Amino acid sequence: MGNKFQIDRRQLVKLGFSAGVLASLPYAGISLADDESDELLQFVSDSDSPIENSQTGTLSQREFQTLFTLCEYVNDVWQFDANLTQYGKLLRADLELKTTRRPSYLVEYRNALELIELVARNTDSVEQAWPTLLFSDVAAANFGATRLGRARRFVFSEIIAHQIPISGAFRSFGLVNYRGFFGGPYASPVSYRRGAI
Amino acid sequence: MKSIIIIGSGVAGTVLARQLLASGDVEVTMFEVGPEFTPADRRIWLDHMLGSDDIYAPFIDDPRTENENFGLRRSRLLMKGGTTNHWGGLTPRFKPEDFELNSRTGFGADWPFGYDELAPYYAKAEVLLGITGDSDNDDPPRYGAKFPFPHTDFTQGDKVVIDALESLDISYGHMSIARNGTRCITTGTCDYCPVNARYTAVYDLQQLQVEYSDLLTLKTESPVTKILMDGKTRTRGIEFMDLNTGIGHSADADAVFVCGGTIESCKLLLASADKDWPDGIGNDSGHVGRHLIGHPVMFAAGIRPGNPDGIGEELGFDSLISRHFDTPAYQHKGKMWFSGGVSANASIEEQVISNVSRTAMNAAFSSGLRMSMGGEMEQFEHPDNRVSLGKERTSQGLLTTNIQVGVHDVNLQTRQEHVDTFVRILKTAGCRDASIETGALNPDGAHASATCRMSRSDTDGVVDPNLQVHGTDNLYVCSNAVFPSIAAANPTLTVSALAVRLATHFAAAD
Repeated sequence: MGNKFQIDRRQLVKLGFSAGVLASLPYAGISLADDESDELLQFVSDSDSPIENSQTGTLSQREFQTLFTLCEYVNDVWQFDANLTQYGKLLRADLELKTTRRPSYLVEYRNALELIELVARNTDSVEQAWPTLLFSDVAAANFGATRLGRARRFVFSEIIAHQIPISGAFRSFGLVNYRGFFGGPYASPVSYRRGAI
Repeated sequence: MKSIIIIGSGVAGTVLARQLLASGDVEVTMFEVGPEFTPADRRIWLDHMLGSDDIYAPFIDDPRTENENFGLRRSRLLMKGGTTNHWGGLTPRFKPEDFELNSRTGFGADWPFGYDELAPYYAKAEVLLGITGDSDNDDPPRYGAKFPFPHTDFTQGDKVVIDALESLDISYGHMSIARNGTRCITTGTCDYCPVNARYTAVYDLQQLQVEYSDLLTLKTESPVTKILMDGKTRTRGIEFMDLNTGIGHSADADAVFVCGGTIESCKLLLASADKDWPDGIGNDSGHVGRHLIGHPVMFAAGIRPGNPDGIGEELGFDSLISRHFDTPAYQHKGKMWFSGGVSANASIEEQVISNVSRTAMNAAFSSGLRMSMGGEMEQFEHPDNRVSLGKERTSQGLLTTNIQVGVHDVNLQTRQEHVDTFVRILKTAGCRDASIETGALNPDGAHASATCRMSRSDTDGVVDPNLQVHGTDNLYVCSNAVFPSIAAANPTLTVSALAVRLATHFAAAD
């Protein structure tokens, strides 16, 4: 008999248990610059919902393009080699849904955009700001409630979670389908790989 | 035109409403305790897919209904469409021996009719729910009935499980599952299908509201608090509360169908006690609320070293089932069905967010394959099992629930045997001993059954073989509550078949 562990029934239905990640960290040891810390680690809210989520609106094309540099950065660094041109249109449409319907993420997105601009001042480009924004080591108490903590949770992580299936990034591992990707009819030979029974 | 009241908008109430509206001169008013909900909405799907919002959190039970031995929270949903909003869609039929549990084992009760009586209604329900399945698999017998959609092929991950099963001479087959074969786009977010391919009562009901806009009224956030009787045998309608105003109302009907699930259906009969039914409607012999059963769940998982073929979970829903331990030979111990699958050793987005390098991700991906086994077994009723009324009202307007449950030793022993079987399969597949984890869950509200069980005589149960409450003329219960036993099969197809059969009976008796 093996070890005992607990699981929620709904998780069990999927028969897919999350696994621990044991691997090296490509961007370990990044610290925030002194002039960034106060702004980035400012307390905002420990709410599990996006703040001021009744405020709806549309991101400008410039604002969207700034956020989209995250997708370009991830696609490049992790060598996903996905075609981002078409994906960008889908992301734009989905972010529109996240900002024009309640609970709206508009204020969380604008907070993240301010942080990107702030960090980019200390780097040569927005692209070079991403390691700091995503992976800087922060020992702040209640980090999740800070500006940067909330940006990572409500904006950066969600966009990456969107990008992997929708852009087809998962294909770089040899997979043909992935949770969230519209793989096509199950009768289609390209919707998933069959076992040779 | 007959005025019909249906209490509950889950699968039983919805299938029943569809059949009644199609077959007769009726108008239907449906009462639902929970709120409206929109299926296949892109924004809701995004929130669900991205994991940013627990989209069903607003619809779970009030915590005061929780019971540690028979949990209700999260297992059922109080909302338009009920628990089908998050169900897995698994739709195996019961087997012939399941209708004869007491005769064969001494446990529980027999059904008042056999498999062959229900078989044609199973076939109709499979069409209504849009089920994919293997029409050539005649266990249980299909008598030539075809599934509306062909089964899914086994996945590359299934092959890993199948190789182990074949080594152990354990039989397997294709899962039957309520997934429309022309709509499904294999997105794997089945808990909230973005295209209404998986059957949900909320989408079915949405269509019904269009098709029968003049004959079907749905009242959401309107818990029914009492069934009103006119003398001992006839119901004249119901009392309900408008949760938005807090004001109580009544509604008249020529017939009332209680489709509120196993827990709420029996509670409503108990709460409707009056001078003619002092212990609750249909409860002169004391069976209302008794015999509660569900499905204990067993599971195990392990890591198989190496994944040179880069196998991952690509289909996102179960395509494999084994009913090897769901046979008459196992019936006296507690039958089981199970499934198994594989997933990659780590999710891609989690690794990116955790700052794992591509090189390390490649290594993690090819280092091992996570195999999971999970199954559900038949539970035998224990004499202590009972649902009764609490004294307070929840925020959803329902009386709180008291649940008392006991467990038979034979069920505990067999549960462990089934877990041991999973471990044997995992080891045969090559999983490292140290990686194997096992566990089990007590039954919960998802498959709860038998609190208003069917019987030929009013001394043995609550409803007759046509689901009419014993001793009444126009009051019916259509829910898992009427099952005399639970079998080793998910109950939704069976309750849907009973709903079709009830509508047929009702139309014929008219």
